[in-house]
Amino acid sequence: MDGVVQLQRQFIDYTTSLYEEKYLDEQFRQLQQLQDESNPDFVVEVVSLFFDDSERILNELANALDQQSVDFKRVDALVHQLKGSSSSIGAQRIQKMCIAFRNYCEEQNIEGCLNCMQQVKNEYSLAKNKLETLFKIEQQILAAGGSIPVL
Amino acid sequence: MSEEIDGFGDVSSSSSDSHDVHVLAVDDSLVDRKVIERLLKITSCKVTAVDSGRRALQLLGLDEEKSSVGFHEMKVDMIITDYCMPGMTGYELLKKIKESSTFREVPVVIMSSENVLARIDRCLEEGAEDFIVKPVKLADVKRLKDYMFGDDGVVSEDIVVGGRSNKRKLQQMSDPYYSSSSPSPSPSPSSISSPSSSLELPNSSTPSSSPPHSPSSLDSPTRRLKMTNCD
Repeated sequence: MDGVVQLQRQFIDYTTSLYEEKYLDEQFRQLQQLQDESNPDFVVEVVSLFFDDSERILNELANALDQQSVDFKRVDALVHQLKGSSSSIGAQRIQKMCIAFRNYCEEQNIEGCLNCMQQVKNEYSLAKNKLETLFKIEQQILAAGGSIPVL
Repeated sequence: MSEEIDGFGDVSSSSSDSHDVHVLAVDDSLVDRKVIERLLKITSCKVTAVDSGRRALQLLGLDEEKSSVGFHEMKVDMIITDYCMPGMTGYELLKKIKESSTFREVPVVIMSSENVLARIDRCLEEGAEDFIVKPVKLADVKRLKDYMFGDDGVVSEDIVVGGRSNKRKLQQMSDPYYSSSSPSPSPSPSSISSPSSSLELPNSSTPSSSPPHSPSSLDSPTRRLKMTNCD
């Protein structure tokens, strides 16, 4: 079963790096604790909801920041939503970026906001790629008949 | 499992078991609703999750604008709500519940990502049972369930904080609707501990100190306060 062991090793290394690089934090572990035989896809489901929700928010943000006269309250409200949901799944880097973003909203600093917008989009893309990769490795382990290591 | 209740859209309920603790969860965030629902179900609660204070009031039959005639009033053992929601905030929902003769004794827990002490105080003073700083963890929900509906038969005492006591009367779990999932043969009195007592769990610190963020499972809400700048 060399294949499975290798995949499991890959999974462990990858997961460890995600925590070390702060893509994920303790809250993600919390979510994993909520997954069991009766709810085997819980984490994937929540994260999928997060992706959908985030994409909606990012679109609305782009729109709000594109206005002649930017409604900073609206921008702030949207960032607050993203901050909340990223915090709930343990996507720490996105969450931290949102905090900085909200500070610029409070200052009504359009340049700061646009800058943060770009950074949040980047962080979101990164997080999405990494989580999708993680889930893919999980699927490969399961398909090879192995079990997913608990970290 | 999800069911569509006419006119309520985003309402989902778990399978019915009249002996389980029934919690009404209110949060405008889809992600958070999913998480809180799972947290509650895993602690053996029956859950109804809604996306706004308005919908919550409608389900409770407290919405002034919608006639509740013919609507079977929902029985809830606890309401857990997000603070920051568009339309009606969790605080406003809390007030409406406490104004209601039918539901004022139902414990209401507030969740918020923002650990503003003034906000926490205001909620507790308005009668909230507890305040949880998001993100909500399994330990938070377990703790809530244990001290509100615990099967150890221990009645928590009124605790005086800073010379100001905030007594609540003890509630008898004489209603057969209440949980009989505990091993104790007779319904044990369930005390609604005073809000201040939740700030005084073992090893708790006073709100004015800055406790380290500890991962221990019995953290009181104040212990989990991070002394970072509030948004």
